[in-house]
Amino acid sequence: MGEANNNKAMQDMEGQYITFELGGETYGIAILKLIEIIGFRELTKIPNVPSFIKGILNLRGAAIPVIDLREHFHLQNVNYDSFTVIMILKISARTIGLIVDNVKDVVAFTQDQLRPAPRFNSQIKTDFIKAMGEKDDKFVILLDIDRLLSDEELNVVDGV
Amino acid sequence: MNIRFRLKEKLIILFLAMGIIPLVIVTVWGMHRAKAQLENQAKMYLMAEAKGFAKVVQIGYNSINSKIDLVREQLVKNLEQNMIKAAAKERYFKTGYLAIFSSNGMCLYYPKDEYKGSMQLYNKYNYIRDAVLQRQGFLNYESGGEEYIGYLVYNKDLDWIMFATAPRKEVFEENRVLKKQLYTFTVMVGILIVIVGYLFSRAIIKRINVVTQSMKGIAEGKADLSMRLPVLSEDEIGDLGHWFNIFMENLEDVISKVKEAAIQVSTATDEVSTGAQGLSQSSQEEASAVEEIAATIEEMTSSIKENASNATQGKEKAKNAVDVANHGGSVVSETQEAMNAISEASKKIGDIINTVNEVAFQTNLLALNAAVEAARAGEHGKGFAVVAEEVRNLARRSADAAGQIKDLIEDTVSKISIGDEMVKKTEGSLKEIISRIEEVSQTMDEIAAASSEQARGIDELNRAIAQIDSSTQENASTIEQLASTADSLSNEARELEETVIGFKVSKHKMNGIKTENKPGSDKPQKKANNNYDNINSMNKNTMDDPLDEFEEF
Repeated sequence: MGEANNNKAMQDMEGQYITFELGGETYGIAILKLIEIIGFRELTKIPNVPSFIKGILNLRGAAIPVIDLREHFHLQNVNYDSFTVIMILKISARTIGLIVDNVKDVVAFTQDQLRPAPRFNSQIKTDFIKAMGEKDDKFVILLDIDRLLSDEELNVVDGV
Repeated sequence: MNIRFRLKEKLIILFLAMGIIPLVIVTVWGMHRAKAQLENQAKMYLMAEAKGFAKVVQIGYNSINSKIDLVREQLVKNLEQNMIKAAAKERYFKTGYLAIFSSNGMCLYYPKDEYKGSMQLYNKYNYIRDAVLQRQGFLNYESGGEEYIGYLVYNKDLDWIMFATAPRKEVFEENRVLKKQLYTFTVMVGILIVIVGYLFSRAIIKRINVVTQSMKGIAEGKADLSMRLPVLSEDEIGDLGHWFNIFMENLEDVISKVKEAAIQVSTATDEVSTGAQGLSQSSQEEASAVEEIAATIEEMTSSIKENASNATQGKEKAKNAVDVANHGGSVVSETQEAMNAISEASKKIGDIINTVNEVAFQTNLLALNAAVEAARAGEHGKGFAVVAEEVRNLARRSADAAGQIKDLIEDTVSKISIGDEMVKKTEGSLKEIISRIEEVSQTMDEIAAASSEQARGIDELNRAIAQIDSSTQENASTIEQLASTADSLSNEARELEETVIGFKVSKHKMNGIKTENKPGSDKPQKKANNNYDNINSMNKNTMDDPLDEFEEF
């Protein structure tokens, strides 16, 4: 991949991101992928599903499956509090809720603020990381929401 | 008389007194007696001669028996002439003669013819007058510076006074010779007596001198008591030597015993002296220790009194402390109440803050959703996005402020809880302090009681110490006396030893003391030696063999 290619990709990635916290790290999601942000509320538990699927959210009549990103990322469980929010996203034409610790801000990243995602060996899947956004000398992990869930997971979600 | 004679001189004087004085007395007396005898004999002789002559005259006269006067006259004349002739022949001693006088003083015969038939003699010499007057008997007289003896016989028939006379000198002529011889003899005998006396006394003195020299040797020389006097004779001097030797033997015995005893006494007194000195020192140390104890006790007394007063003060202070602590306790509870109130208020504030926070959160969410809507609206939503951001900023600021307030409140609450804890701890501490102070107070009470008890004990101790002190001082003085007595005894023993050491004692005497200890020896000696045994056994440790040391002297 050439420098020009890279630059092109980075240029594509420019835009507004919603930043949120998860296990002490700051992540970012493209703002246009977002439908709504709501405070955490009680979910309808679904039996016999993987544990990262926390339940079904009733949002103005629509049933939306909700995933705990923390569990998905195999991070430690944290109790949900008043600052826990559910981000309603559009993933591959599906509407899914993501439980995150805290929503922070709307940040606009420019090309020079973006860095390519780190690549490890083939065993470690990191392709869901779009890029690393530099903000206030810290990196914001920018997620590719469409690649966040595997097909199997999407299937499971769809099944719900 | 202060003149002192030596024995020799005395003996000589004795000899002289016993020999020469009687000799001289006898001689003088004999001479005197002889003289008297001679005079007597001379008198008798003159009387006999005179009387004999007178008898012859009387017989001649009586034989004239003629009655015829003429014849008779003639015969008488013849008789007279014959008798005068006879008288001329009479000689007594050497120049003695017979003179005839008539009673009227007429000289009828005198050895010198010029006086015959005259009165010259009668007139000239008093003694002739005395003789004529006396007529009869002895007549001693003096004439021409010479003494005479005379005898007068009177014949009344012829009227003759016959006077036989002789110079006394001639009478004693013989006596003078005798006297000379007697004196010579006396002198010779005297000389002999002196010589014999001298020799005799020298012999005696010599033997005495032998004894004296021996004694002198013993006395001033090496004082060798083993020396003995030579017993040469069996007389008194021999006896003297013999008994002196026995005396020496006894003396030697005594001296050897005294020697040993002196050394033992010396050692013993030395030991006593050392002991006494040690005792003295220890008693002095004791005295000083007692003094120290007394001083310490005094200090103790004062410190105990101080203790007692301190304990009383301490008790008061403890009481004050309890009061203060109680006061502190009430303050603490007030503080606690105040803090509780603060805590409650803080909680309320926290609730309010939570509400504010929630509002801010909801606002933030709304603003974010607005931002999302604005982004979706694209160019049209730009203005709206700005407003949403402002709202978000406000929400964030209010959330931050609320967070700060919450932090502060939490800090306050935590601090209050810490303070509360501290107050609780303080309360506990104060309670503990109070209980401790009460304990302290109780302890102080006990200390005060113990101090007074101690003070009483100390008083008793003081009295005991005073007694100890006085008895120690008494002891010390007694020991000092003992020490000085021991010293003087030691000195005297040493002097005795020195005195006795001068005496030489024969070895067998010293050994004899040991050997005599065997049973069966004389009882008194055994008794005496038993003492030695005791002393010997006593000194066996200190002195292996005192006799060895004796022999060195």
